[in-house]
Amino acid sequence: MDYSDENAHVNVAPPDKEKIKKLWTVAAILGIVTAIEFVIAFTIDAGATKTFIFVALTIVKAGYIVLEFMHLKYEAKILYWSILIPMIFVVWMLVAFVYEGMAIADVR
Amino acid sequence: MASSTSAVASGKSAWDGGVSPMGASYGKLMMWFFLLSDAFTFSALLITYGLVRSSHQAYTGAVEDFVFSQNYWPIPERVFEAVPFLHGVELPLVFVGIMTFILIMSSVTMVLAVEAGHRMDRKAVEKWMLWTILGGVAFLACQAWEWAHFIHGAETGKAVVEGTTFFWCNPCSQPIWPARFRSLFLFYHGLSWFPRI
Repeated sequence: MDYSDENAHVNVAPPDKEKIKKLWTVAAILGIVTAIEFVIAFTIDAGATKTFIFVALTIVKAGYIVLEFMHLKYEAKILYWSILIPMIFVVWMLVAFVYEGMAIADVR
Repeated sequence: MASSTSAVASGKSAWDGGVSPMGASYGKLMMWFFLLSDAFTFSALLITYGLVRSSHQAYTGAVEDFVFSQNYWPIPERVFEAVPFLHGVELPLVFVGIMTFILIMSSVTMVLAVEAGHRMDRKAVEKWMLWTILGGVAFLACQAWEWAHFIHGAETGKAVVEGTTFFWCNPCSQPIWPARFRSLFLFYHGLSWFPRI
């Protein structure tokens, strides 16, 4: 199998400046959110508030990665909801079980 | 059977075939299948950790006064304070920040590779994929170092029972029990990275 002549026939399109700029913008947003999280780690006292902020910011970052980098925002809506709704259920489960854990701690 | 329903005016009905469900290719749909099932698997581990963690005492008090103990969970500032090549220096959460940065950058390079792929730019795809792989390997190496470090402990040892110190890991009285739980979790997470890379 000789792959070398395949290159001769492929037309390479020039880079799309707009798309690349958008990707780096999202990367910058992710970087900034991470930096904010870092600052919060050292300034706010440990406790429920801090944890809640971290979880919220992490969901924001994960959202950006899934929607933009994995292109989910631009897919057919049915696919978008097929991914999103189960994940919302999972987050609900996490919240519910942490709450349960706190109740268990009280009983101890 | 006579084709009684042959009066299809124009356009394709989805039932005629040749149409991709949701407009996404097979590869893309299967990738989402994998991602979602993977998310469920790790959510299960995470939710268990959340339950165990919230059902035991957390440490309340100043960061400076923290002492490792069996009575409460350790605080992240003291658990994640090691940095490779800086032996004995306590830099809370610095290594975590470095690893997060590597991770985010590798996902950026991955998406740039995909973008180059759309344009049929083979050289650019190779370049960005190599950077992505490098980022993935670097992150895994960091995780491996971190995990090994958790197991063998730092030079000064960690307090086990109040007042005593151990220099090497004793599985029965390991103070960072949650770290053990986390290690298991991380091990599977790290293992799942190899096929991804």
